Amino acid sequence: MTNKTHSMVSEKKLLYRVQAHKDAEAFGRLYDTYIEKIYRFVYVKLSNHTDAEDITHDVFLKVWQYLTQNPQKRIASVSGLFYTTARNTIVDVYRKRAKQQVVPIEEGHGVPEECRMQKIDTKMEVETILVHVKKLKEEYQDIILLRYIEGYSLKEAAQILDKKYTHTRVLLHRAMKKLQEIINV
Amino acid sequence: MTPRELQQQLKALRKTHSPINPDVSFVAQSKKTLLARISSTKEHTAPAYSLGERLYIIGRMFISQKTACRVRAGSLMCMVIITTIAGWTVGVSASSQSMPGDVLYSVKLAAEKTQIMVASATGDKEAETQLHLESAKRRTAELHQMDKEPKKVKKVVARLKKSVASVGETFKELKEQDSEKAKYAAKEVTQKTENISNSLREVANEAAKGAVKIENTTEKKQEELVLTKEVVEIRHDIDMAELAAIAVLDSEDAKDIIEDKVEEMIEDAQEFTEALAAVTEQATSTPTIVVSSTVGITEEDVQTQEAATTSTPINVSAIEEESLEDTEQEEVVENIDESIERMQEIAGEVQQLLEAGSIDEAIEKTKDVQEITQKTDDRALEVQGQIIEEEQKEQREDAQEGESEPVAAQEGVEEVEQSQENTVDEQKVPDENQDREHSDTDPIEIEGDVEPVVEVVSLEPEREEI
Repeated sequence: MTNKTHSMVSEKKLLYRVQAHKDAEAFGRLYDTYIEKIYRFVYVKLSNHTDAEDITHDVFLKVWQYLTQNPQKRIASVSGLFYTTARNTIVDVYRKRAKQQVVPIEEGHGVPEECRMQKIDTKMEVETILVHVKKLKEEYQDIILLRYIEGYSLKEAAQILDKKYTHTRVLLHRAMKKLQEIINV
Repeated sequence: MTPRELQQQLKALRKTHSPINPDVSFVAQSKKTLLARISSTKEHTAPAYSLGERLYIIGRMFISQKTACRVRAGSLMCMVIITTIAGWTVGVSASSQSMPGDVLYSVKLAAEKTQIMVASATGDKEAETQLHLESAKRRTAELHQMDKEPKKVKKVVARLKKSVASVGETFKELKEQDSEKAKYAAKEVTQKTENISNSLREVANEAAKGAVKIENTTEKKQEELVLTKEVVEIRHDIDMAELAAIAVLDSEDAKDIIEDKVEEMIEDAQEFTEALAAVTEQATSTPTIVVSSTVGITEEDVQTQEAATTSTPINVSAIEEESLEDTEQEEVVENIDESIERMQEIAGEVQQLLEAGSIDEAIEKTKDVQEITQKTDDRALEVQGQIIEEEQKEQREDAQEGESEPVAAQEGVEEVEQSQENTVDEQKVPDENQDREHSDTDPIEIEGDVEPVVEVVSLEPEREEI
């Protein structure tokens, strides 16, 4: 049994314990596996430590509630569940902020994602490469983060992003091309 | 920057102490808080799952959504197929006893057609022949049992005719395709065709009886006669199919079957001769004749017919006098008598040929007998048809007379009244004359209100005026 398969089986076991027995210890082990990954994912999008910490904490709490409230629910990928929850939580934060700035929802939707990200970027100090990454579209950021920073395979990344393998491959190629263009300017 | 260098830098982001990684203190603190919160919200007793539920949860975890969907779709398809097949099987088995006009009858026919189509598609001529035979057998049984509604009968007869024709055709094809298989199948075909032929004989008998039944209307008689004709025709076809199957058999088997068949024919002929004699005796007093070696009229039928005839003497005498000419009847009887003699002769020849071992020739001769039988039947049924037509014509004429009768009756009444009036006039005239006579002779006898004129004759001489 390869390392990946072993880790997948052990993850499924932990998931079963959480879903069937509401095992906090098992969830603690899942926390250890995913805390850094989810934090990085959130931080790349928000560029704020405090917000990233709060949101990461919320993500784990939401995952726990979801798993314990839906013990019969089929979970295809544990990592996919954590990343999807993180993405949804970030979207919620964007919405909250939009309301606080008294910007109508329709207008908020009309603002390009890149512009909003750029506003956040300017507030944070990050490494040069990360600054460039943040200039990319959100889906380009995701695929670069998952493939090169987190080290997932294309197949795993496709599963986490809920996209087809071929689409994910194309997406990664375009993202890298775009990043190179930004860096080279 | 090359793509490879870019990739290296991105990979290095995770390893360095960049702000992209969380604080160790945050990780520990967050875990502590999270577990504390989870423990406070967690139910004290974990839900108790049965073994089945646990297996289900584990199964769901390890079987992917796609696989589960495929399995579900596959099992659904299987269920649909099983249900369809089961439903079809139940429907077909339920429809096997249905009769023409029943709701399930079309299912029965569709099932038969499907079976034949499948056999035809696979090129199994033996199975196809058997299926056509089964269809013919079923149609014959239906003809025997069903209500004799002309429309339904017509359809069933048409289907039967088609099945019988298909039996002959497919067996011929089987013979050309594989003579060994044909030989193997011939025995069963012979047996089945004989059974069908016997059943058809019963149907034809019944219809023939209906065609001479006095209680039946002429329309009904006509319908029964048409049915008799068609059934007789189909029976000849099936007999021919039987002879074709016999020709394929081994000489020993064929010999036995032909011997039986010839015996049967002779018995038929003898029976028929006896019946014919009875009919001939009654020819002058019987309004209708049914003559058919195939139909196999018996003395009982003739007696029944006689009884029925005597029960309605008026009709019989009317038809006897007007519809059936003695000469024509005699001619038919003579012709049939001759045919019987010829049949008996050929039957004898067939037996001789069989003894000599010439099976093929014997079969050809048997076919000749069949031909003669068919001609005889046709002629007899033709005459029967003429008789019914005449009867119909007679009835029409009667009806027309019936319609004109009230006018005639009225005219008669008028005539009677006229004659009565005439009689009265005639009676009056002499009276008047008489009156006149009386008045001449006896003026005192005057009728009516006329005052009697009394002539007073004075005997005294008239006074002369001075």
